[in-house]
Amino acid sequence: MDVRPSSQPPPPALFPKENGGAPSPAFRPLRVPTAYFLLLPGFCFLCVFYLWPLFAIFKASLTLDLLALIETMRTTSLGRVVGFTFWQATLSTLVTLLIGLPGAYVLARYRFPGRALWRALTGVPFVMPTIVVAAAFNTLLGPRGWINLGLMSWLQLAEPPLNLLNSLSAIVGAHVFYNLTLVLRVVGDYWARLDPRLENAARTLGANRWQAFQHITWPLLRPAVASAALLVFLYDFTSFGVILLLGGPQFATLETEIYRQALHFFDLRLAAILSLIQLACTLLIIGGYARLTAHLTTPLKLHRAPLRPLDHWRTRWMASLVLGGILIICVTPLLALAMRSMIQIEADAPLSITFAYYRELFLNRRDALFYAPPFTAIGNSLMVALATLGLAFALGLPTAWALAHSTSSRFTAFYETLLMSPLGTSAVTLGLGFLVAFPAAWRIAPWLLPFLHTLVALPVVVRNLLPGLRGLRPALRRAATVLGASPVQVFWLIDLPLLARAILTGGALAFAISLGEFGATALLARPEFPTLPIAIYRFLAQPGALNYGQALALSVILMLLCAVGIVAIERDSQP
Amino acid sequence: MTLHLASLSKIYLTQRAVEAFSLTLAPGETLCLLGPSGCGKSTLLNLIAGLETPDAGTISWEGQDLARVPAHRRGFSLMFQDYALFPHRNVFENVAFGLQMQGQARAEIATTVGRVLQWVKLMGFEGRDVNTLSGGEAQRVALARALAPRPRLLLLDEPLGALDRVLREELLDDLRALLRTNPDGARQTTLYVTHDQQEAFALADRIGVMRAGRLLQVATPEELYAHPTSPFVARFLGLTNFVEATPLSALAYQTPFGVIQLTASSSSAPRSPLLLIHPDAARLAGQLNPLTVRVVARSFRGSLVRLTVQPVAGPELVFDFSPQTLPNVGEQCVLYLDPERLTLVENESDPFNIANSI
Repeated sequence: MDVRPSSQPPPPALFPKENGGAPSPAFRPLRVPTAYFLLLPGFCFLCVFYLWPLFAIFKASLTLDLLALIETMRTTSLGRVVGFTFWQATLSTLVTLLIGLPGAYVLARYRFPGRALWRALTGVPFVMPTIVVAAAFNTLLGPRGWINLGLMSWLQLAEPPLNLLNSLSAIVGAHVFYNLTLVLRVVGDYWARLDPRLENAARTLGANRWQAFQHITWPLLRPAVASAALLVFLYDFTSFGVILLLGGPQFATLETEIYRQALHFFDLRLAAILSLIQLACTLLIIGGYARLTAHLTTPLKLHRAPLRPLDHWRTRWMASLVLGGILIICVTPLLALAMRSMIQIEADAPLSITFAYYRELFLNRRDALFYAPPFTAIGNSLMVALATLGLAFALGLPTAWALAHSTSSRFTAFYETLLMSPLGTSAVTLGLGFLVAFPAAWRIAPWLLPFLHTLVALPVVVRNLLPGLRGLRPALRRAATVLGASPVQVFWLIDLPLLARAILTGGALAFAISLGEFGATALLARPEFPTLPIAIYRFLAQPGALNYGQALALSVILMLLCAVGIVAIERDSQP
Repeated sequence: MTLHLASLSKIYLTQRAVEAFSLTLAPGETLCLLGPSGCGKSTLLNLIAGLETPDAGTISWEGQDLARVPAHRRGFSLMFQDYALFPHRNVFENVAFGLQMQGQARAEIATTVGRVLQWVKLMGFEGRDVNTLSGGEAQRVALARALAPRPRLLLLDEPLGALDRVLREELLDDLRALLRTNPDGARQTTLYVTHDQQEAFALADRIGVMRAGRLLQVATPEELYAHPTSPFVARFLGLTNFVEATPLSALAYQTPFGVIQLTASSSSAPRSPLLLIHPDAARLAGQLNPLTVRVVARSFRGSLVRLTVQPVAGPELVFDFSPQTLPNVGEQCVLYLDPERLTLVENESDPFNIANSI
């Protein structure tokens, strides 16, 4: 029995996840040459832009001699870096679970006003580019952020009293904000489909509420919780922008260390070694995840139970606390960002609303960071995103079509794994791979960016198309044909409308991914061709209120661009 | 008296799921609540089990009010429609669950589980994964799990509803026998909920017919079938021959097709009576209550033949005959109605409306 929901909620579409099994037997399998022909473009792309760069990293790491390696390891204190990477990821995951699990419970079991909206809002952080999240937390916790501004005006201070940035709590806070929705959705959706009668049966057999949870609900929920935890851990482990911008120089993880070694010390060989370590760790985590999701398909009789109303004052209190708390966590940073981008602070003057930072984006100043007005970054990003979208669909449609129509074999299994691997590879590793593999990468970077982004967008597009394609019932096509539709009409009138949602979701996610991509782009970006996230990063790193303001203004623009796509996806996803 | 329900009500948002429901259960009795889906049967079971709280009325056990007793302390077992077997526990662990909750010792649990599994004829199934059981096996595991902790009351929610017809017939007899001698050899006090009248007739000591959250009639199966008190109950039992009747004397009633004679046992003289004619009331020979009809349809049903006939006036009637020489479609004949198989029903509202609402 297939226990998966027919339509995946949007964020899980991003994750590497075991697919829903073999194509339906009703499908006539494609003849083998046709299938290979359709799979070929995607395969070539992955070979050139994924496997070859990984191989290049591997080769580069081999050229380092052992003594030098040990020496550099001592100077870079590799042990501490790896240790901290694990530690911050573990801590972030635990806090995320602690806050997310009660929310998942309420979402799974209760009906409350504004439920769909709440669900949509809590999903927003996940699709926000890391750079936006970092900027948002900066406007909350930073020296020019709301908390310090508030304290300064309240206590009449001249200097920001608190240093909240560059701390572990800032990192953990941003990670929680980012990944909370993973717990809410992965656990919440699973919990919602867990038959509440199991718990009721336990209760009538003499178990009190706690015993029923302990013996029945928790054991059944555990794989979902574990897989959510592993996903969160994976994201926290390979987190780049958040650590770089909120952790500051004293907090180094593998990811930021690769970046620093490659770009600041130009030590590509050491960066390559670090990349391999990073790769090994992520493979381990993904392996664990795959094992767990396989567990999730144990023949549970899943059953969508009717949601209960919040009809008791105690449950009402509990739910308001949980729902309100999570909403505050998910909304406050983004609101802080949007508001802060429109506030001007001058010495001894009250705060005033201004659009100066936005206006500044269109000016070309001599002493500016870039050679062109900052708004060109928006154009650059949109161009790259459109190119990525086109490339991802040009490769993704034939690939998904072939995979959906071919009987599963060892080759298709390998192909799907290969296709999904870039999702599990850290962004900085992907960028580093391009740098190492293509000697001219630096010069032709603007042309390479769409290919780099497609590495991440392609699996997302295919993953969204596959269930839709596999779910196309041949009977519908035959019915249309019998009613007089030509093959072209069948495609336009039957297939396409049925696939429209999958195409829309995949496209919106691919677009958002490209717009917000930071980790990999950071290694290839050139000053004269900044994308939005790169421009924001540069502005944030500079002193001065105007630079800070422009960073925020650009962040808000990036946030809105991504939000457009998300709204399109969320509009009719299941509640 | 064991279970006693007094004017129990439960309202969901605006819909009354259970309304002014009163019922008393005798020890060792199997009572079936029969009603169409959505009539509040499951809600009633949840209320009794303590999984939901009533908006009004009381539930008591041997005189003790259960309002403040939580579900896990009531000592009632509830068996669900598709069994709700714990998918992460094997057969033994499922059956042992209730005993573990009682804090029994390991050895004691093993003995009890063994005995109960033997009772449902599932010896050797202890280690089986519950996800691999057939429908009938799962049903018996669920029954074993429900009865292992020796509940004071067993609540069954459509326990055969998920099974196909052949298996259902087979398990019906098993279930009947099992409820008559539970693992302790006693009659299990049981409240059974179903929408299937065959099930109810086969299992119940008494049957209660429910409609829209209300209890319409409680009686033994024989009494219920012979003398339903309302057209709804009659139609739900598959009795469809109704005609309006006006009293002429105590035992004679005017109907669209003439005067009909009743016997004393069939008439309790309702205020606005409807005459219910059982499908087995018609005879091909006799003296009383002659009725000239034309045969409209004839269908063979194995052990009986069903004729649909049109009297000279009044509605079409349906009669069952044992296979014999019967008039053909289109032929006229005279049927004689056996007064023993006629009964008067209170016409609470338009019978055709009721027919539509079944």
